Amino acid sequence: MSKTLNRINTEISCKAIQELMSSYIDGELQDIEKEIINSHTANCAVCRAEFNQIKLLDWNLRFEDKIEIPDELAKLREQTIAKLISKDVARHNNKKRSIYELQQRNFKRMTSFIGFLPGSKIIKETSVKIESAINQQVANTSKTLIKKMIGF
Amino acid sequence: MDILISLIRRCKNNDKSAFNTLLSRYEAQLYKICYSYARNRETALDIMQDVYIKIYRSIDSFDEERPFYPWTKRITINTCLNYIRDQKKHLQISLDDNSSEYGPLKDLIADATDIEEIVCTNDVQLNIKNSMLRIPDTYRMALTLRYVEDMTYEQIAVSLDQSLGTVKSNISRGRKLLKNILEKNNILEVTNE
Repeated sequence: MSKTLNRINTEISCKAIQELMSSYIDGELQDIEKEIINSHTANCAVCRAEFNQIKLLDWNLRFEDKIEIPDELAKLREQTIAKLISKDVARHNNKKRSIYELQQRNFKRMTSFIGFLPGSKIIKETSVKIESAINQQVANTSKTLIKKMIGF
Repeated sequence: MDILISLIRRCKNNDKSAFNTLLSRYEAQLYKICYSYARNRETALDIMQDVYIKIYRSIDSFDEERPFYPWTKRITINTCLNYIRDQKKHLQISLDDNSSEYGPLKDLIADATDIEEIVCTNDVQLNIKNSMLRIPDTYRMALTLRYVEDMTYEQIAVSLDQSLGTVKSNISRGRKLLKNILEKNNILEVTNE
């Protein structure tokens, strides 16, 4: 086995070994690959130093100071969610009113052609007269009714 | 019914307290990702605000059959990457810009080695923090997920939507860059034995 490893070692460059060091530290290599690296670094001072530095860096990164969660994070969340929800509610309410307004506008547009029909002016004047007569009649009837109720 | 699914459904109905309960379960871990990546408390809080907004806006499209935390983590990762990228765009100004009364900017910027001498101390942790900010975003995010989330290379590849080979390469290069920076500051000195 060691003769095979020695033969493999002479064929693998330091660059290739160094590229595998990260994967070694992260447990991503097969046993045979780890053996190759161990065997190479035992005989290569440069790669051995490189490997030790990577291990030391890994150790420092693993045991970095604990990250403190700021107290204002919860408040930030509450404020952000409250703002988003109130914006959505306001938008929803606006949407309701504007649908009604849209409908009114659409009806007006749909019937606007009537103004261009022949005789539309006569119809308009007649309807104004009728409306006025109806309003007058309603007013007179209301006065009569009120008089009767009050007893005049 | 699973409590988590129940909470998610209430969130889909714009239930404020459900949102707060749901997000409070995961925000600490998401914050750690943001902080570990940005290495700055205020920036991490800014990113978290964006994360809250994005989760709120996309909750309707969340598939309840899938796990919730990986989905929020994906949003957080993308927000981190986009945030820093956008910050860099806003901060970009030409070094040759001569419009200032003091002349071109390039003449005013201190030499990089001067900054290193001023900033660097013997504190290894501070050095690592400063050094992390100097490596490319993609390497930094891969290392963040490796150390903060203890994710395997395959999990990182899925989270970042990258190939396994790219993740291996980014982690390896990120470590190498960090090592080189720290070596220049005489951190990580080892003997050859």
